[in-house]
Amino acid sequence: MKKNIEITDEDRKVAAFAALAIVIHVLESGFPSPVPGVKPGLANIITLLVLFRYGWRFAAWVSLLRVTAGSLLLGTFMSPTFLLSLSGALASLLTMWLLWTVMRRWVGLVGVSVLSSISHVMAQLFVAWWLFIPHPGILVLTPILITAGILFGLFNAIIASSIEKRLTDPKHNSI
Amino acid sequence: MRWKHTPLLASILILLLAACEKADLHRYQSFAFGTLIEIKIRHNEKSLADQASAVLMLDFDNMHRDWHAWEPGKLTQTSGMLAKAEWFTVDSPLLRLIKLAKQYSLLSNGLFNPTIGKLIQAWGFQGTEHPQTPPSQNDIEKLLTDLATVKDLEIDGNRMRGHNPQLQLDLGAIAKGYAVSEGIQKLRGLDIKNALINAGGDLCGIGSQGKRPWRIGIRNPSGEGILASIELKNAECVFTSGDYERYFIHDGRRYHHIIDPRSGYPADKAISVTVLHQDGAIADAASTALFIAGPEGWQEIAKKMGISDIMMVDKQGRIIMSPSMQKRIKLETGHEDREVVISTPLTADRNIQ
Amino acid sequence: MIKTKIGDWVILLFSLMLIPLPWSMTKQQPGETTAINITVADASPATYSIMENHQIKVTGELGDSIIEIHDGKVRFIHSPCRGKICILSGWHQQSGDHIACLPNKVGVSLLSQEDRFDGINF
Repeated sequence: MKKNIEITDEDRKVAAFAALAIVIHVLESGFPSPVPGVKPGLANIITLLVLFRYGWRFAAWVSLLRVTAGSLLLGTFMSPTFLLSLSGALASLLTMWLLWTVMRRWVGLVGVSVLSSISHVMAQLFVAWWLFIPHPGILVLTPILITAGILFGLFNAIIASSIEKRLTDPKHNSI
Repeated sequence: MRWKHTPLLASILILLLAACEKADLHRYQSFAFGTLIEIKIRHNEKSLADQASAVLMLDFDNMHRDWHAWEPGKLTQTSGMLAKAEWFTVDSPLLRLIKLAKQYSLLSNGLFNPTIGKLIQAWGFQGTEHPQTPPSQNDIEKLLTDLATVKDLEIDGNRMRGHNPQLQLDLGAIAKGYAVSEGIQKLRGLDIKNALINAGGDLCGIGSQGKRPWRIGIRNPSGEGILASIELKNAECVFTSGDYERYFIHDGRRYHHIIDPRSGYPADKAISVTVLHQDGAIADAASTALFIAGPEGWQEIAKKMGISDIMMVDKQGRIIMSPSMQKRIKLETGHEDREVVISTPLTADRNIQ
Repeated sequence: MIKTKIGDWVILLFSLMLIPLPWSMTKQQPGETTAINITVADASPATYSIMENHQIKVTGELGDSIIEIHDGKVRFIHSPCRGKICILSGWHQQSGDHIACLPNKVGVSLLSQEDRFDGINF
């Protein structure tokens, strides 16, 4: 246990990955979505990569830093948008933790990405329904969001694994 | 943290969803003609639909003002002139409406009577304030002794003369139907071929909703929910007169707004009458006349007025229908086992247009 | 190729198989009211949810009208008009239907994703 504040190598890595995730998060928020709430969640690719390289604790840091700093940059900190984002991230992290600690031997990027994406959507829907007006619009969106969540979960896993492949290639092995 | 924008966001979301589903169905809603008017227009140009509906709402308001039975305007002026028993000229839209009213009143054997404004007034069904007590038996008898009919209304070209000081026009049982049909004509002129106008529960439609004809639910007149449904053919109106629309309760008795000119009291033989016809004005007038006629006398009136599609709910809750109406009406679940009486066919006298 | 483990395939297959579930669960019956529009005088209508039981107070030309939403049904419970026709007409739940307190110029329209009726006659 470190007693005094000291910037470690690990901290630097967390910061670097979080920075990358924040950039993706902010860029993605600039693109309009055809259906409200449907987003690919590309920043999650970073979280996935970090999870598989450095473990859950590391991934949790990156993810929470992204949500917090991202919302500060977008000016949505502590707004309903932020709470939705946070609830999604927490649910997603919880799923990752379960899979990582209990079923790491049997589950790879695809399984983690798809399941965490589903929990992300479900948590957001629940929070939206519970905190905001239980508007029928949310009910109508539910199937669309869940379907999109599964498909984007798969999509992100494919991208993450192709990046992972390049990272493990000795020629590019610099991280 | 502020949540006040959430309903707004949610509404926008709903609108977006609704918008991508039915891109060419436009819906408008406004208070006009003294009621809540809803206009649905199916057209690929939204700007045209927007304009058309705005024009219609204005028209409805103008007609309502001009033809108002008690608020000072063209109709009250006309009534005033009629009381003087001298010839005077009337402007053409109002003249046309009064001519129609006279024609339909004669065909209805006077059951639809647009000249009994005084009697309606005595009952308190003119005015926005609601009546609390019925007029005295004495007052009603006095009003009935020299009650005006349309025969006291002489029309010659665009001139008009009254022959009864009691004559006071109240076009409440025809004006709305006439106005909605006029609205439909206006839409046609603007090249809108699919539209539905709902004026406080009385509707006229042209064309279709898109996937299917315009489908109308008829409210259960004696309880909650929907009694039956009907699909409109191109250019049709469905009008209902019911005892539940405007009424007051005095000493445990219910007094509604459809006054029988023969007795001077609210007509008490039916609960509701629904009429289907291409023309709103006659559908409106006929639903009133047939309501007053009741389950015994309605067939003769219907034949004379050229009405072949009619449904009546009588005091016992029986549903009486003409055979052609029965073909069109679909009773809702929960009402299929109600007693239905089918009348003999109404071979309508074609003495109207 | 992507490296996969047995669990990936299990999760993926299960997820894809479960996609139809939320679609069928949230599928609404035609005519089922999902929201209401409240029109006050000349203002453009405001949309409210019908999924939650609550009361809405709106101020019309004469005063406050209170509209109650309960289990997907709507009614007026208070209105400053004397006739109280809007209140006496009771509960309404069919989409396409309208309830109005005309003296107060407050109108309620019942909306759905897919209307069973395009208009209600009464």
